This record gives sequence, C-alpha cells and structure tokens, in this order.
Amino acid sequence: MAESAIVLQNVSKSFGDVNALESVSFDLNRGEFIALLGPSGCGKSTLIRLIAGLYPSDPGGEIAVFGEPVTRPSRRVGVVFQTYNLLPWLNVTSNLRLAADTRGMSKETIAERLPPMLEMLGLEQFSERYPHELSGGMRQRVALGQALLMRPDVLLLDEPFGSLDALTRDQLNVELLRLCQAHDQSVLLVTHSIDEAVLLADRVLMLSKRPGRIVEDIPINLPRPRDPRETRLLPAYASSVNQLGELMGVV
Amino acid sequence: MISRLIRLLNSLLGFIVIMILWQVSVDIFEIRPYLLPSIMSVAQSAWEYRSDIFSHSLVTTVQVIYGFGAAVIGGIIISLLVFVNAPIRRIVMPVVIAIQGIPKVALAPLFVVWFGYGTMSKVLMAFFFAFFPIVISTLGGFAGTPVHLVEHFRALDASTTTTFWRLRVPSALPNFIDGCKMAMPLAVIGVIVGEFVGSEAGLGNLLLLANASARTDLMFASIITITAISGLLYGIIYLFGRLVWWRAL
Repeated sequence: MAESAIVLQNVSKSFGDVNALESVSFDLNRGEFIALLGPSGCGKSTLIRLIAGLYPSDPGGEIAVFGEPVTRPSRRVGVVFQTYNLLPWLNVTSNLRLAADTRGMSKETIAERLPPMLEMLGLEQFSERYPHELSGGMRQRVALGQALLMRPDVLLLDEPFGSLDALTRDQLNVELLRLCQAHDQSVLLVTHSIDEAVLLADRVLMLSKRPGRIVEDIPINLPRPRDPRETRLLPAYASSVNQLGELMGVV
Repeated sequence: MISRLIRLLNSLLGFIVIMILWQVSVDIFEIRPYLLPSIMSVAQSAWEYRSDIFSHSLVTTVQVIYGFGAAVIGGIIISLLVFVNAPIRRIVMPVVIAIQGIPKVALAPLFVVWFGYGTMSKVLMAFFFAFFPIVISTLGGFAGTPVHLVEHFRALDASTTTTFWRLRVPSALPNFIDGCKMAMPLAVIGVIVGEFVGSEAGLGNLLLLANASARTDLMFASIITITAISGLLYGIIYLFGRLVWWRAL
C-alpha cells in the first residue's frame, strides 16, 4: 500500500567538473508533501529537473517515479517552474489546456475539467484574458492549474511563488494546501523560504551548499488543515522554524 | 474620432512643412525649374502624366510584390531548413552571408543579360535585396524562443514538431514581421535599380525617360510615386504585424 511516489537512491549530478548534487537519497510517499530547503545554488532546481526527466543523473544513482525508472518526462508528473510557463499569445483557457493538450489528453476530458479548474483557481472572470493582462499571482495560478489539469500523481514545484510578494504568496500557499488536500496530492516543493516549508510540508529535507547533499530530514508535526495565520501562532510552528533556521545558519 | 483625425494630421504635418518650404524656397530664390521645379509644377506634371505614371506604377508594384513574395517564401523555407538541420546550416549559411556581401546593384546588369528586359530580372533584384533580412530575423526569432518555455515543453514531453509549431513559430513571428518591414523598402529599391539598368516599363524606366528629356518635374513626380508605393506596401505589412500583437510584450 505504502508505495512510494518518488524514490531517489544515491543520486548525483555533475555538470563538467561542478558537482551539483552528491548521493541524494529519499522517498516521497503517496500523498506526502515534502519541502526541499536549501541555500541558493545548492542544486535544488537540478534535483527537480532530474526527477522531471529533463536530463539524466550521473550513473550509479537511481530515480524512480511510481516504481518506474525515470528516463524521460513522465506523464504522471506535473512540473511548475518559477518562471511563468505561460504562452503570451494564448488566453487563460488555452494556457490551462496547454499541458494536458500536449500530453495527448482527450478534448472531452479537458473540456470537462476546465470549468471546475477555472472556478477552483478563482479565474472564471479571466478565462479570456491574456497573461500580460493578469497579475503575477494570477499568472502563477494559471501555471499551477495547467499542471493540475492533467491530474498528475506527483507535483514538482520549483519555487513556484518565489517571485511574488509575501501577501500573494500566502494566498497562493493557502490555495495550494487546499488543492493538495482535496486530491491527496503528492508534492515535492523546492523553496528557500523556511516559513513556506514549515507551513506546507509534512517533511522538510535540508540540502547543504554545493554539492547538494541531504543533511537533515525533519518531520513537521503541525495539524492539518493548516491556515498560515493560525498555524504561525502554534508553538510547534515556532520551534520548527527555529530548528530549521539554526540548521540553515550552520549548513 | 477627432483624436484620430488629429493624429492623422500629425503624421502628415512633416510632409506638409517640407512641401511648403520647398515651394517657398523655389519662389524666393528663383531656382530654375530644371534644377528644382516647384511642388506645384511637379503636381501639374503628375496630373498631366497620370495615366503613364499609373501604368508604370502598376508594373513596378507587381514586380515588387512578386520579388518580395518570393523572398518571404524563400526566406521562410531557408530559415526552416537552416534551423532544423545543422549540416544544412553549416552548408547554407556561409552562402547566404556571402550573397548578402555581393553588391547587389552590380548584379542588375547580369540579370538583364540573363533574363532580359522583362519582369524576371526585376523580380530577382527585389528577391536578392529582400531575402537576407527576412532570413536573419526569422532565424533570430527561432533561436530567441525563451529558454524557460522550451524547458516547459520538454517537461511536457512535447514532440519536436509540437514544440516547433506551438512554441517556436509564434515566438518567431514578431521577428519575422520585423524582417519583412526591413525587406519591403529594399525590395522596392531592388526593382528600381533593375529598371534603371534595363527595362521597357516601370517607374525606374519612367524616371530615366524623364531625365533624358530634362523633365525634372516628371522625375520628381516619379520619385514621389515610388516613395508612396513603398510606404503603402510597408503599411500593409504594418497591418499584418498588428495581428502578431504579442510582439510588444
């Protein structure tokens, strides 16, 4: 039953003579939310791209998504990058369809899922708008919706809200929590925000400076459903943040 | 509506000022008409020869459109081949660049020798003038596709064909339009040069005839007509370019 969504075993990656990652191993269980936390340049994004099948890891390591070794981008995985993955010449609806369309999902299924997705994202009024007419938060919501429309078994998020202001970020994190809980979504989130990691994740994996290695694996024991404003008031939140902060300073 | 009218007047204002200065200086300095005819006499001769100017304009315009069209089609095909296939790129690009290095004006006599005084030699001139900017800007557009979007398509396991049509082509369109905007006036120049060197009709031909009979007024009428045609054709491309509205983003 407890089949892992993602298994990494001894995964390393070097670009030329730069070691980006060094023997990284961890499991992401089904329905689990893991945050990868680390200083910039520690190979967090590289790790996401390896799991997404964008390029191969160094020989000797293994990455499996639902038991299958990753050799190419899997259709069970949805990725949201930090930069808006929206095509400027497509409106919100067409951008939402893009990923599912490209993945070869049937037109009927897409048409069925579009209206509830627009509603869930709060973008019904904006379905005909183009990306340049949207705020940064809305754009990233569309990008997230694009990935979710495929109903991926795993969601890889590479600092998806990194370029947004704190308030919008909080808002989107609330929505992300809601969406993930509704679908029992397995998520791997890359972030450099301790607050974000603690608020969202079941476990925080701490990466060291380059070459990135996992130096800590810290469970976050906060009750769900979480709400940023309430959760931040809990003592457990404070102690987790402190713990991670100290580690970040040390690592 | 009124603001539109004002904007239209604004864009015409420069021309009106030039025409007034022209007319006034001819009157004040009593410049002899064979050196610089007054704008009024240019207008008069344009009216007098309106049917000739019209028929020559038609010849020139058709040649420009053929040559430009050929350059667009040829430019797209070459850009596609060069972008898609590295060996073709290595073979073709040096040739394309070398062709651009040829002083194309010097080709005109050759084309006349090879293809005669008719349409073909002018169309070729227009083609050679217009081809290069279209190829270079289209290739720039393909190559300039945002890297993060290319990566997004890769993460979606999109085929090369899908990535090409859904991502690279729309990203390259604004550059392609820019190339066309550069190429269109060049195509006009190409045709006029071709007509200078050897032709039986066209505005370049009319210009030479007017020159031979010392009709400076008619020469100016021809030059202004050529400029107007060039501007009109440019305007058509500009309108097409507005369809590619995401260029300005």
